[in-house]
Formats: sequence, C-alpha cells, structure tokens
Amino acid sequence: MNLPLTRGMIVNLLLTGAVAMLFLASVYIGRGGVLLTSNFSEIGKIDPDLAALVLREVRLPRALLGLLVGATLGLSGACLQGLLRNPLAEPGIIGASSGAALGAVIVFYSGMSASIAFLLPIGGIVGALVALGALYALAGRNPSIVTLILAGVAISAFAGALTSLALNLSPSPYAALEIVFWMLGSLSDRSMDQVWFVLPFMALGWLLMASTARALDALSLGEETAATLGFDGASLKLRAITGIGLSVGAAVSVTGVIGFVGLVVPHLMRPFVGHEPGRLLLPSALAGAALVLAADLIVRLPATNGPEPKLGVITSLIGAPFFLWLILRTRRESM
Amino acid sequence: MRLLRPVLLSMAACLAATISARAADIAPKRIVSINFCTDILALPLAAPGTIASVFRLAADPKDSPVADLAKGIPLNDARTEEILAYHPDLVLAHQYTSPFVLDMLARAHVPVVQIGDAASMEDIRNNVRIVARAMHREAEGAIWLKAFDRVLAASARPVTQASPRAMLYQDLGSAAAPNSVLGALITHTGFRNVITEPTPIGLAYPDIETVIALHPDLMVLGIYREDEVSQANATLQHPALVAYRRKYARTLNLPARQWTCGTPFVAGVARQLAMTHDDMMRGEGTK
Repeated sequence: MNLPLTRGMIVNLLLTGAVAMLFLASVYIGRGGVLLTSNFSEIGKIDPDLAALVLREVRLPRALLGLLVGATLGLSGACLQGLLRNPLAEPGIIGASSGAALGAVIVFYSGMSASIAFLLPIGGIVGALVALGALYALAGRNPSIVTLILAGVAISAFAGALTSLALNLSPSPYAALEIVFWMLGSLSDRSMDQVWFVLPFMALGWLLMASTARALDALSLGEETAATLGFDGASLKLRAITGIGLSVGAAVSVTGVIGFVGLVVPHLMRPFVGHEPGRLLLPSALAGAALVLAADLIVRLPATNGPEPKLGVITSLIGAPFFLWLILRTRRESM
Repeated sequence: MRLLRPVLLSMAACLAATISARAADIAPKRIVSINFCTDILALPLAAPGTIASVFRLAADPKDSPVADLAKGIPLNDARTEEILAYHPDLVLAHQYTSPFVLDMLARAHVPVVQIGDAASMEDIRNNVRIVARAMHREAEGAIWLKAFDRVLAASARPVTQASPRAMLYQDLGSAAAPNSVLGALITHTGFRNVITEPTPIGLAYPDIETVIALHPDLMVLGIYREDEVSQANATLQHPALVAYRRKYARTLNLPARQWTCGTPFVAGVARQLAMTHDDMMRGEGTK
C-alpha cells in the first residue's frame, strides 16, 4: 500500500522526533550541565546499583513528568480553544490550573495524601473540575473573549488567594516558600511514585480529549451545524471538561502550576496543520511535551549553588509576551 | 529666631544625650524582644520579671529551645502598636527586622538593640555579648559563654584524611556550607564536610543526585517539625535518598530547635556530632 504522507503526518513525525531527542537530553543532562556519564561514574564508584537507582528514581521521573505534563498542557490548551472557540483559552488563564493547585494543596497540607498517595491527584482533579464548572457558570453558554478571560482571571485570583491562605494556615514553617512552588511549578526531585500515581488519570483524560476531535471540528462550524451533523453538544462538553479536569488536575498536583504552555502551543501549531481543532490535538500534545522538556532543561543549566529557578518562570517569560501579542492581534482582527 | 535656633538645637542634643546616658546606666526593666533569635538569647540571660514580651515563636516547644522560659510571658507579633503598648525601655531586634517598625520605634525614642545572623562561633559569642550588655547582664553572659566554650572544647576532634565525610542536609534541599555555624560544627567535631565551597548565604543547594555523588558517610538531617507535611520535608523522603542512607551512610536526625538562629544552644549539636564521630571511628570507620 502506498500511503501518501500528509502535511499533518510529517509535522507529527518531526515533533515526535523532537520530543524523543529532548527526552533523552533531559535524562542525559543534569543540573549545571553535568552529564549522566560523569555523575554516573562518580556514583558507580560507590556502587553500580546506586547509579541505576539514581537513573531510575531521579533522572527518569523528571524527564517522564516533563513529557506527561507538557503533553497534558498542550492537549488541554488545544481542546479548550476548540471547545470555547476562543484563541485565548488555556487551563492556566481560565483558572483550571489554579483550582487544581488549591485542591492539591488542601489534600497535601492536611496530611491526607501522606497516608493515601492517590488522594493528591484526586484533590487536584476535583479542584480543576470545580474551577471549570465555575467558569461555565460565570461565563455562560456562548462567552465572548472578554467575559471568558475576566471570569478566568477572577477564578485564578480567588483560587490563588485560597491557596495562599491554606498554606499560611498550615503549620509548615516553609509556607511562604511553598506558595512559590504551587504557583510557578517545578519538576525537580520528583520520583517514580509521582509518575505512577498521576499516569492513570492523565491517560484517561487524554483519551477523553482525543475522543472529542471530530466533534470539535464540527463545532468550529457553529453549534447549530454541529447539532445537525449529529454531534451532541452536551456530551462533547462533558467529555472535554472531564478530560481537561482529570489530566490537568493530576499534572498540577505533582508539579504545581506551569503557565502558558497550553496557550502558546496550539498557536504555534496552527500554521502547520491548519485551523481544524481536531487535527490540532495531537501536534499540540507533542509540542507541549517538547516545550516543557526544553524549559526544564533551561532551568537546570545554570551552575549555581542556590535553589533552582522554577519552571513556570521560563514558561511565563515565553508565554506572557506571546499572550500580549495575541491580544493585540485579536483586537486588530476584530476592528 | 535665627540666633535662637542653634541654641535650642544644642539644648535638645544635650537633653537627648542625658536621657540616653541615663538609659544606659539603668538596667532595662520592660524588655520587649521582637525576634525569635533575640528571644533565645534574652530569655536565659534576663533577670526575673524584666522581659515584658517575646516574639510568638519563642513559646512553641517544637521550634524553641527556650519554650519553658517563655511560659507565662505575653507573646508579640513584632508590630509597632503592640510593641509600644508595653512601654518598653529596650527592644531587642534582628538586623532583618522590618525597617518600618525600626523607624517607628526610633521616632518614639525607644532604645533598640539589633543582632546579626551568626555565621561562626565568634558571631554567636558576639551576639550573646551584645544582648547581655544591652540588658545589663554581662556577668550572666560571660557564664553562659564559658559553659558554651567548655562543651565546644570537649567536642573538638581533629580532621584527618581518615575522618568520615559528612553532609548536613536540611528540608528544602539545602546543605550547610563551610561558612555557616553548622558547617563549622561539622569540621569542629572531626568530620570532613563534603560541601567544600563557601556560598553567599552559608547554604548550598545540591540536588539529590549530587548529594549521592558526593558520597557522605554521615547524613545529618536537619528537620523542622518532622510530623508536619511540607514539600520541603518531602525532599528528605525521596526514595533515592532514603535508599542511599539506608545502605551507604549513617543518619543523624537533628531537630531544628537546637540550631535555629545560631545561639549557644548549638553546643548540643556539637555534643551529638562528637558522639557520632567517636562511634563511627570505633566502628568499621567509614562505610
């Protein structure tokens, strides 16, 4: 059989290659640019088993979480922009991430997750779903861009304030420092445990979002048209929102809020794969993974003695100016 | 009027000098300490009944080595109004106390004495002397320092190439650098600190992989409120670190109340480290 390579397939193949390379780089390059091989020989002198343990429990989980969280954020961004038919939608901007952080913070600092690890992602998921529910309630059925963004800002601010409050009330002496983690995100010093307990929720969320691809395409022609084409609007919304809540909630519960990835990535992909939201999902997931892996390489490169910069610092440095540019462009187009 | 002004000014200056001279002569009776570090130094030195209030952390037995001494003393949150309500004749503060509070206290002519962060044994002695002098308790200060120096002398061990390698690792992934009180104690008690470079704040932040690659024989874990959950605390529970400690290093847990702030209470840390050192040298040496 002679399969003609479509443009989308080429893009996806190239992106897969980029993700694979960045993933390997993430495993291979450590803090301050220390390569796996040099640190390995050092640790291997103590015991080769120990070197294997470092690979398995330090390097690998960090790279895997970068991959999983990045894919989640990219995919959720693309799915949300399709669902709300709005180029500025993103889990961070509409408050889903802040809601997830709040849920995770409550579960974590109350000590519930210390006994049952699975409660941590569940806390994040509930938080994200509540925030998404609030957004729908606030912004109504067919929200304008302004309404949506303002509702998102309000939810984010509210969830952020409650997160700070919960941390201030917690007995931890590090509350102020840990607010920074939950608001800016980091992948450092996670372990395989975290990968295992977020993976099932993320995978389920991804499947739900992937199942919306064709309905999102139909929706881009308008709600009426989608309905006449036989797509059930309520079911679409339910699947998309549940999928975003599950995967973003789980992601944020172990890495904190990593902003702007879901916003930037679909826009970067549109010129390559076109404007149909369904076709945008897979490339956005791949590009999201690539972006987070790359950003995580940047934060670990400076060889400092101080604490590592947070991941959200890099993604926001890239994302916030991009967001401004998008607003300007949207305004120009609407004029 | 123009001629009068310098006269008035110099009169005012004379008056101020007399007041402060008098303040310096009379032992303060309503001392308010608005910083946890000055609490720890002032409470053991103070004459009974002279401390009107201490900072809120002083009374918490989880954090404070002087919680029993703080019993019954009103707590403050270092806010200007609160402080002034005690009519203090001495306020004990830290170099990092809010400048706004210090400014208000200066405007209310309340004498303030500040201590700095201790990065060495000499800094600890200086801080004790500063607080003791301000409280007119120099004799008590000298006795405390003598006891401190006695414990330090008893816990001194030579550092040789055979000395075990140690790292003092705390919540949040920070490790004591040589230019810190804890770093000094590691070397003082006969360990080689695997963190060899001084850092601006006396702490280095090696990631878990680097901690293992540095291969310490002794992991001293500095723990704040161990029963309470925090991300900071979770770092110490990382599976790779736990596996390393179980198999390749000895662990010594140090509750934070013994070393917060760098006060003579760190003598307790010196004693424990020296005991661990002797134990390790007697045993199979380094693992």
